[in-house]
Amino acid sequence: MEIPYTVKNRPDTGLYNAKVGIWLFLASEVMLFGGLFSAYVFLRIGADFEWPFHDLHVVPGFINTMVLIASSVSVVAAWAALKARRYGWYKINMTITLLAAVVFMCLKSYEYYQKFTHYSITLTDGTIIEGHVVHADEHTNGDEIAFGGVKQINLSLATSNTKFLPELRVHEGEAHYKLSTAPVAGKAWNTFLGKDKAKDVTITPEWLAELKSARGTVATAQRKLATVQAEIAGYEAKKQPVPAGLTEKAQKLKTEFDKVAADNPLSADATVTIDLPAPLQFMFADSRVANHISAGPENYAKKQQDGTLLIKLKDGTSMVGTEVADNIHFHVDRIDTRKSKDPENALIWNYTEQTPALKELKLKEAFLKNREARIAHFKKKYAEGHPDRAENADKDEDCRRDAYRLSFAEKPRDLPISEVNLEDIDNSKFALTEDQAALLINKEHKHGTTPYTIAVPRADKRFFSNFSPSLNPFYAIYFLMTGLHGLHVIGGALVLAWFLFTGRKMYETDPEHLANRVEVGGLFWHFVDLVWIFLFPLYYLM
Amino acid sequence: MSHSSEHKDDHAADEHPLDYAKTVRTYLKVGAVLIFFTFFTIAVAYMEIFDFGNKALNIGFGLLIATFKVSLVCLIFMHLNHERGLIYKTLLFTIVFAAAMMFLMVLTFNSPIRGSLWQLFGQ
Repeated sequence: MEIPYTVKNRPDTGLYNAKVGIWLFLASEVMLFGGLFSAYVFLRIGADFEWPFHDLHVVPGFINTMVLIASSVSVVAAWAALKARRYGWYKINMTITLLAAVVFMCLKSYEYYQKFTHYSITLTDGTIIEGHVVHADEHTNGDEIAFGGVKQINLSLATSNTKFLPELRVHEGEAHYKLSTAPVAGKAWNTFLGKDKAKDVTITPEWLAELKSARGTVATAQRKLATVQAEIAGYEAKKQPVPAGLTEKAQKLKTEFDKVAADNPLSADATVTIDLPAPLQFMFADSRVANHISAGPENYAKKQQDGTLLIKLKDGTSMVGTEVADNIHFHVDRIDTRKSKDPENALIWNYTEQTPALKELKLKEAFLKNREARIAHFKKKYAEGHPDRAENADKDEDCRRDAYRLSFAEKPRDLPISEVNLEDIDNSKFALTEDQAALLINKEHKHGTTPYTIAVPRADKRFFSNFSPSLNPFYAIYFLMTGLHGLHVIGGALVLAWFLFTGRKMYETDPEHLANRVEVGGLFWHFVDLVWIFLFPLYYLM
Repeated sequence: MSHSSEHKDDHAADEHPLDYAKTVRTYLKVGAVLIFFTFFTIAVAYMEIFDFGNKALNIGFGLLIATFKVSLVCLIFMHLNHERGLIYKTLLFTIVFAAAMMFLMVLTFNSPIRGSLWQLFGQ
């Protein structure tokens, strides 16, 4: 069937059909993004936290703006080339457009990667520290709990994952291994079998799979028997005679169940206890612990009478032991005390005091000097044009951003430390030592190799997240809108690529049809560009 | 708004082959203007001479530049400077609905609990 009005205009609309279609679609797209932009305004105006300002790196966003503008020019030039019947130029322009789409998505992926590997910890006193989770040592990830003295493991067979326990890492002195690669031997028993009939076992995924399968067989036999027994009980309750067939069936199922249970004595009980020959120390990420959301062992483990802790893992496995260490090893690149109850005595200064290299740099002193100098600077800056702002400089949003935050990875926007160090501002010398200044403006730090690494006790953590949608509403709406925009880029690029790679035949038979197709694809592409024209200033600049 | 009769065959026909070089020059000029205004937006965000003492003004100014850039894209690249009446009518509805949606926001914020929208901007 031939689709009408793909080339010629429809008399009543004065347009070819696809053009009407794309404009109706774009109208709905305006509503979609309009709704999201209004959500952005709602979130920003109603934010109960310091709205991130200049948090995103401008350079990738700026390059992407350039790239999209260039692609808008090239896609409309591709259409013009078709109208002028210059197929060579069409191909060149369309290729430029597609390359621009690839560059855009590569930069976007880079930005996302940077954000997903960057973390923020809100401490219990309100201070926020930003940075990267680093390896505490070559065997330990930075956010793991060391749980030692484990003599007994309890498996909940119904819920346990065969790979969960074997994948846990064991650290014993110099030895570091996983149960799956170096299985530990133990004695397994359950209440059904009794402790005196414990079996020698090694904790492997295969053994666990076998155990779970056996439990399944027993559970199935038990369920069948229970169903029939319930049916019999029903008759008895109503004081009706139990059909003879049913009693026989129940007896048969009971015999079957006894046989299955006798063959699989270890699995008749859903819980299996493994006694370990010697106490072990396990390492696990807090995401493996059942109650990992709350900070501190008192929240993720239950205290036993003898003072040991009962810790429950995600798959129902539990173990008794003691907490050896529970720190987040963190490479700090920013300290934000704006929400701190008492910035001068914030928890963060305790950690920096415990790190010899940072202690030497007197970071707290640097913070106080920085604060004093910046408030003085803003007072001076606002003195002429904005006397009200000058008077309340220590409450001013822009001033607080520079005065109450220490950024190690970048120079503060308004007043580079290197300049402050040389200047006399309002008679208050900002006398950082060279080492302090170097620390504050050092741009080429390598994660985990500089003295910025601190250990944050998990109990001091109120909230811990990477820079993902879960961090705060700014990042939630940022990822939503830029992600949706990115999907539009991919969709648009696929359509334009289709026109480029399959257009030759249509060009030879009906060039105007191809021109119309490219015009419609181009209209969508321009829409993608104009959404970005609003996204860029809103998220990166303002 | 509608340019119906004089551009009757503007879209469909090949009778008036397009001057490719001239058209592309126009597009390149528009592209250059867009790039210039991108730099300008960054200047408004970072340069001290554009510090009006109220961030809401900077945001407003930045969005005004963005709106100008978007208008250029719509008028020149998307050919809205010489389109048919039907498209303008469709877009008119879209603009009315989008504006109504934004207005709902004003209604929400002008409440005894939250205070007026302008107060919030002032903060």
